[in-house]
Amino acid sequence: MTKFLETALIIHILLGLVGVSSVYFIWTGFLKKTMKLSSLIKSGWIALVSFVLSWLSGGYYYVAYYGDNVKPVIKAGDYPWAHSVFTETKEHLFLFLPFLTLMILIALYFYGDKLDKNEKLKKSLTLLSGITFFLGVFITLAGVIISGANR
Amino acid sequence: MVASIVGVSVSILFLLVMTVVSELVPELKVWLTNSFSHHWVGKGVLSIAVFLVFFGLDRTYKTKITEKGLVGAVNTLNILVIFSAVLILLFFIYEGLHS
Amino acid sequence: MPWDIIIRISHVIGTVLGVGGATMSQIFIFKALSDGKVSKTEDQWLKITYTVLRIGLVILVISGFAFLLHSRLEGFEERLYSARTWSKIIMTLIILINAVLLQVRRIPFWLGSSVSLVSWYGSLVLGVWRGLTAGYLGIFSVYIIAIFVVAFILEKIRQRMKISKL
Repeated sequence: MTKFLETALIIHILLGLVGVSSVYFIWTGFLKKTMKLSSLIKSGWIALVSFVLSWLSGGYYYVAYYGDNVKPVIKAGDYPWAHSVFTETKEHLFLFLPFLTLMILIALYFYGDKLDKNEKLKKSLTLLSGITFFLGVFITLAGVIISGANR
Repeated sequence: MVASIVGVSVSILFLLVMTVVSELVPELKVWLTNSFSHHWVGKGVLSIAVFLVFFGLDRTYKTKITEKGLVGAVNTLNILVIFSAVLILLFFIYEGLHS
Repeated sequence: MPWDIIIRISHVIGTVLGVGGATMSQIFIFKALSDGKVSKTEDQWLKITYTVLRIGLVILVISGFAFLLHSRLEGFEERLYSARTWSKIIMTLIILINAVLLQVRRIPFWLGSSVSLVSWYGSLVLGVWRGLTAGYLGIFSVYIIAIFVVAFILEKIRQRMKISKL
């Protein structure tokens, strides 16, 4: 693996983690009686930018290196399901994250100041951020499974 | 906000359909690879395009929605995301068991 | 300084802040409630402790994954499949979900506190105990028993301090 690909993988993982952490912060922020709207909006931006950059760096690594170098090793090894189930699922579910984060950010911008009075909408958005967090966790752990199968 | 809910919902539905169909219809995967250098890049680019189209359409026609309707729309998106994610996982588990 | 040393130091710092924060927050809650009410000063101390705990958690998660990434890049992929590693990951997830459940009061306080403390200390023990050969069943059997033992101890402390049920 070249240094550039190594860097792409490192950026992909670390920014993915930053994104998931930011979504967790938003989720717990929605659960408070009084939301700190400016902090949530900042976290929303951090999450969106992190997921987009993680998407791009991970995508580059996947297209330029994974297919020819890692996938055959995993498929020939003891854990071929790591690719057929987890890589395949992860690469498609990851595409959801920037859209969902964008949705949350738009909601915060247009309805953020009304949410403390609109319990039902707040609950729906809390659920959306919780779902986004768990999707992010699944994707992160799928990455651990895939990396561990590369032997 | 309505436009973004519409755009995101249709994009996720599109991704679900593209994911399953491209695995079942190899010609679609080949077309995606030939058009975008990689099928995954194609799905990403097309899902962004779908989002922008439906976001734009909704903004153009200025859909009016009550606050109750907005809650319903977000809840529908929540169900759609869970359904799509579970379906994609189950699909690849099935494919993994039968490959 | 080699990367693995930097990652280990960061991980230890995260553990110190997180375990320390979880421990002190439990002590502060009991102390604050010993007179039946939480004063403004006590509330501020609790907030500071939770902030330190959260900072510890962020450092821990990022350094933990940095360690896994380092293992991947240095050819030690088998570490990513060990029961110790996954048990720590699961306990960290439990800490995160438990915090949410406590916030929305969907878990009784006696159980939530115990889960928090046992998860933090459990992760610490798993991190330190390099030669541990126990599998998931062994690790989580001890984990579940520990939750109830710690809950019992916390309940005895609560009764001794004459704090009304939380």
